[in-house]
Amino acid sequence: MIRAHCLICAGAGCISSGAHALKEALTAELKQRGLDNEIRIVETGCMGPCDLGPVMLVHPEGTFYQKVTALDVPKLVEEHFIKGRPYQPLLPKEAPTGAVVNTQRDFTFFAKQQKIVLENCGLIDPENIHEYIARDGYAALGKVLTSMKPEEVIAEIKASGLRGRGGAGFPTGVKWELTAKNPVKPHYVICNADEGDPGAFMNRAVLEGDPHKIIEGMAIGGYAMGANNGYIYIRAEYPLAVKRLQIAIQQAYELGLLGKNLFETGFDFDLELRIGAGAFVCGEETALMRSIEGRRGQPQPRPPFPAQRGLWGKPTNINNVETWATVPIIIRNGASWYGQFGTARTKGTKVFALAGKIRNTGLAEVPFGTTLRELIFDIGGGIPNGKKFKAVQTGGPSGGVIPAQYLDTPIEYETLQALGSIMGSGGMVVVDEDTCMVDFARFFLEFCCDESCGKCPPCRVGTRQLLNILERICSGEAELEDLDRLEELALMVKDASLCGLGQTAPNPVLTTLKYFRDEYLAHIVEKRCPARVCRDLLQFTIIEEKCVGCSVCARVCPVETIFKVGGQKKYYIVQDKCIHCGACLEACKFQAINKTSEGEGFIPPPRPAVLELPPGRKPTAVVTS
Amino acid sequence: MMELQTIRSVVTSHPSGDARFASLDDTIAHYKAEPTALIQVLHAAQQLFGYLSPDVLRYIAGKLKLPLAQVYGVVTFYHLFTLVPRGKYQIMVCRGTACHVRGAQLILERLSQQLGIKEGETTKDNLFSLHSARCIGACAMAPAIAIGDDVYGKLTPDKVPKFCQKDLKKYT
Ligand SMILES: Cc1cc2nc3c(=O)[nH]c(=O)nc-3n(C[C@H](O)[C@H](O)[C@H](O)COP(=O)(O)O)c2cc1C
Ligand code: FES
Repeated sequence: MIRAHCLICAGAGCISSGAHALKEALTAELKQRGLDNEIRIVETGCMGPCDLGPVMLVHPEGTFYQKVTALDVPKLVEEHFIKGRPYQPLLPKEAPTGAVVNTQRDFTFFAKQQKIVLENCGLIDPENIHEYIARDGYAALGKVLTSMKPEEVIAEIKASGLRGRGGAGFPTGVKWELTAKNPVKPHYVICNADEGDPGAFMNRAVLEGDPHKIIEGMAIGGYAMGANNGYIYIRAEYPLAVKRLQIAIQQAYELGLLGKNLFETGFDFDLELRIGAGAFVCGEETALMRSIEGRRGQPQPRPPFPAQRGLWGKPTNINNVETWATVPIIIRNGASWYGQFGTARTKGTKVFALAGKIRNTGLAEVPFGTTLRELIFDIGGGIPNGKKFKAVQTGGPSGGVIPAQYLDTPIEYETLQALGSIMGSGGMVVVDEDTCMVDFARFFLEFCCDESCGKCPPCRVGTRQLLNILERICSGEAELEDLDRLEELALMVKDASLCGLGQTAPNPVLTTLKYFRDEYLAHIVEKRCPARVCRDLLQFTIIEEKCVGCSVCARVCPVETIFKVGGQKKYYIVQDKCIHCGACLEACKFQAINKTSEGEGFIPPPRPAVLELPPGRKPTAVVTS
Repeated sequence: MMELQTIRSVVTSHPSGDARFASLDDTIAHYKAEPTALIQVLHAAQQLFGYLSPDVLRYIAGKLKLPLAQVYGVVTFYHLFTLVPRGKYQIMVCRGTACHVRGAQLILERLSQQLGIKEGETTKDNLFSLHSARCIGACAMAPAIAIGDDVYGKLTPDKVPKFCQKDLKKYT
């Protein structure tokens, strides 16, 4: 008799923090105590709060344990399963108050979410199709094949108000209809699992945690649009997702849920995986199709849209992972059920990836209309280490930054766009006062410049020039006119580029310019980086009173520019050779290193009359200079 | 199975007799020698040989009946393909957004210092090479690095020496 289930998160985050070791230890412990017949261990997909990993959920009570290591296992088993009370030290605490949380339901991180797409993630074993079926899996496929006409399926999706989750938010039903009505045959359906936005990992969680949902959604789409072949294009950087998809596809074939004559209705549907090879632009739909065809992933001008001429020139429908995964749920529960979530113009829920300077990094699914503040501060737990929120970056390299004054904005495609950013695929990178917004913009430009496929000059050349200007600003070599040049060029690249990559690449520049112009001015006019990030504008000095002369700084300095003060147990940084790498700052245990960005008025502490070699350093020519 | 057999019989194997080419032939046969499977075949080849040498590219071009220039064009377009040998294990330091704001640059620098190699280089024993990646999807664990299928998260610069002395010892 099974009396309890231990659900161990086997998402990528928890695996990296030791979920496998936890499972082994727990298995051994239960066996040793003769409990292995009563307590079942299940490895699930991502539960969401990756920062707390490895996490474990115990049913039926719903007790949620965090940061469980193999070493905790004996105590935990003793308390929870033998004495029958929660093991206190591993219960999570609410971020601001520190209150201990007993069950998953009571934990604000979960309580404020609405899990629809993620309904099974963290609950079922993704490598076992029967667990998916037990949760009504493939019932929606059965329903459409046996009782609905293709047009009715499309009408249902249209009525649900579902919009594409890959970025642009195009109404899914409308897109399906375009492909369905195209008389050219055959038709194809594609799942975009390229998830290239750095800082985004929502699709990964579904791919790894509930792969059958995507397969079912695609089969339903295939039926609705008259396509008998589908492809999942997945990035090679997700080996675990590839493996779980391969298992899921094979299991679906074995049970006759893929392949020929599904549900004895004469409908055939085949599904294949295509693995990407590391090119961000291949997330763009036309480039993605080129890549499936085995070619360089260069985007094509649209129109023709994929519904007109797609894969191998045939009508094709591409949707994002999350879009496909929502389809079976809508069919199962009905469009009007789905319509109760979200806002008037944007129905349903969206999964967001919370990363950067936020306490509860991980995944959260909320209805549209939830405000940025609720997502970042209530669910996300706010900013760690007592720092101040500066901005949230949404939509990856194509998006923009949103500053604190807009935190109460309800999240919808249109509202974020009005602020100069985009929803994108759902990545949210939070930054605090220690992030330099100019450097942040430079970072994104470097990304886009590198990822530009090189086909159209506005993107290929324009992003390079934008990057050059930003690099000059970051190193304190820019002049005020550069700001106008930056803005003018950014708008030009936006207007003239061929595909979404170039058209959106200037967004990070434009939004940082709009909301954080003072930081640009500090770099240009005062040669100062207020967040103390841009290396060329930093100074490192030793605070004499705090220095105990331990010599650690001198030993870690890669350019050997830290010397011992003659006759004293003190150290001194000779400025001219310092590369401002910060190695001394991290190494110093006594907070004796000062990092400043004082601009041109910086005066280093007076140089001692005699400088000696630190212990262990061989003399070089520069010593006595 | 029949289909597979016939395709095998028309293609000749590599003159070197290197068994890895036979493995590659299996992949090519799995995709029925379709030129559209080029990227998937290149993945398999890189897995087998560690990198894509001119010899391997020529072989693949011949098998898929594609111009060598087109094969080369595809290889150079995608970041994950390499024309030069890399270390047996590739240390991928993520420099995506989340990792960037949490100090990925410092991790890369410390690793480079500890291993004595620059980004893109390989250690003398050919065991490790150091690279930077775009985003490995472990953003919640930033800053993160990946070695093959293994992901290490929440690194800090001062954890790097211990990481090199302990965790890297697993890889032999
Ligand atoms: C540069 C670029 C990268 C993109 N990357 C992705 C991606 O990684 N995943 C995705 O689903 N859509 C991505 N898109 C959007 C796709 O082109 C396409 O709009 C989307 O897959 C459509 O699916 P949906 O209607 O379900 O949103 C990208 C677009 C551009 C311009
Ligand atoms: S940004 Fe580093 S893993 Fe995503």
